[in-house]
Amino acid sequence: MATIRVPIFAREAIPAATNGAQHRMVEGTNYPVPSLEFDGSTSETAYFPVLVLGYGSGNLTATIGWYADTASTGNVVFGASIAAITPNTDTQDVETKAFATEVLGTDTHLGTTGQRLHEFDITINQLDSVASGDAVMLRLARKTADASDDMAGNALVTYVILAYSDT
Amino acid sequence: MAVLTAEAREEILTEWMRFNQDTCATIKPDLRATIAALDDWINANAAAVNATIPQPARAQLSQSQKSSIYTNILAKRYQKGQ
Repeated sequence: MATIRVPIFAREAIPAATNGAQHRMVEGTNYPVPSLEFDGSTSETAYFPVLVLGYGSGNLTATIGWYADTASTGNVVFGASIAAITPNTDTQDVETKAFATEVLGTDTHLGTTGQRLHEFDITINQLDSVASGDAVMLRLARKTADASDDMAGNALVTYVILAYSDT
Repeated sequence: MAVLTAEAREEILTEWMRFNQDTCATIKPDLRATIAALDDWINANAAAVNATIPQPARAQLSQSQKSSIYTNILAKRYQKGQ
């Protein structure tokens, strides 16, 4: 039994057509830093495409890597959901496929340095009957209307790691 | 003039967070309280501020022009790069 981890970097993500988290590239001191910019007031969304090769069973874990644009304190709330299609088996129209129920996760800015890198997990237990080899779209949204999301300014997501068991 | 609506105050919060480039240790609820307090103070003291403006400018300038001058003074005094 092993855990398969699939990294998906910000540059691979697709901003939503409406209220999409925008791609951003910061020319850092020594190297460029790409991210997806999730606004502090408006709930914004991005999509991460992934093939769940070797999926066995159980929940998926989405590990979100992010840093704060300007804040040095506060909480961020993100929602994660998946839409899974089995090629050659599902008769579902790819372009009208719906998402399973969203699951929320909260992270807290650790302080000390404003733009430090954070990671937190969202356990996706709404699995949309996902099977090995499925074409999955992971939807990630910052839930700014949630009272717990009190961090000021943008949350910049740099990557997502989707993890699952192979048995 | 009454205090700003809750919607207008929220718009200020949104716009300020997008405009701000400096590190901010204040969370959104406390920023909202700041905006509300300042708006309340401005509303309570608007007549006094207006009375400070000497004539004939006080009669000649519109409300919008007076507020623009006031805003420019604050920016020149307190904002970086001014």
